[in-house]
Amino acid sequence: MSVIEADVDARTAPRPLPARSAALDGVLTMVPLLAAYIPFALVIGAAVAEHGSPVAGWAGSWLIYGGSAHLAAIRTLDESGPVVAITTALLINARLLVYSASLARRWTAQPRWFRFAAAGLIIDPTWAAAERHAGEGADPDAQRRYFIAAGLTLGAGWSAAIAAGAALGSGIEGLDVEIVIPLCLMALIGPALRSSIERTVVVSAAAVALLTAGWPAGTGLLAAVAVGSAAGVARERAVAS
Amino acid sequence: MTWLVILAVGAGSFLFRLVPLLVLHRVSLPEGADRVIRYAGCAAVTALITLSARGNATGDATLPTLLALGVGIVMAVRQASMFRALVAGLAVYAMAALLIALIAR
Repeated sequence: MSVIEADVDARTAPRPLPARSAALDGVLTMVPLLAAYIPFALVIGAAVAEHGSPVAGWAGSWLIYGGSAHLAAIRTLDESGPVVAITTALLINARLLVYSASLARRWTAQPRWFRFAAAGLIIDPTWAAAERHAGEGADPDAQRRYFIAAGLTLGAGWSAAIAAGAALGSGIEGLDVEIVIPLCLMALIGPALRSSIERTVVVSAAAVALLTAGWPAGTGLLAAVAVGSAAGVARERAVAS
Repeated sequence: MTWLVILAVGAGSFLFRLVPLLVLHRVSLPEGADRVIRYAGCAAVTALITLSARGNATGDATLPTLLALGVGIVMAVRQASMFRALVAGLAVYAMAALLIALIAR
């Protein structure tokens, strides 16, 4: 058995966890992330308030469930019209295909109702948290409870913060605490950094993200995903040979 | 018009989330595609971290941001809890920002 196979087996080996603790873990994992995302949600709320249809804008907190795409949709709608707004937001959210495909590999034993319910809650922090939790060896039942609890916690807080931002109005546009989000996300993907293959993925994706930062919305991120994945596969082959 | 845009983006985003969960449940991917997917999520979050940090690292905030990220990386590799990583990163950020402000006086 190769090192890689052993690693994969260790990740996927089921480890029974108390169901209640899995749900509680999901909630507790999301609390600091939620705190990190609140300023961003307030800014989106302020943008929603400035827009002509605040209820429709707020509804995006659950319907789109992705801050960058939500904000881009509202701002681009005013500047360039509906077609450009929809295209830009969908391009930004195209990365969700990757998260969902990744979780599909983890969730082969999950029931159909869960895949439908969970689909609406997949976003960067919930993906990273679910991957980390599954990597610790949680069984399918615990993974299910953990993900639903984490997704609903983040979603409820996110939606409430956008509503608060809409109520407070444009006075909060100056909030500047962006450093909190990368610190939280970094802690979630931290365990991956112990593997040389995933370190290669991280370094390659970060480099491409920096180089393509000026590209149109969402496209640089997709380029970083493509290059990071390819670098990971190449490194995996090099390690195996 | 806002409702139309929100509903269209919401529907498209939901399909992005749902289709792989339904399709990949039934279809087994070639080994190469499976490997790409394994690393793609990690690459996407890394890109988001990078872009978010880049947005913050401007002017006087550049050095504090880089130092906080450095501490965050060390804490992440050591598998520190998110709370500890956040507290350590923010403390370094605050101290560096304060130091720069004092020097600038």
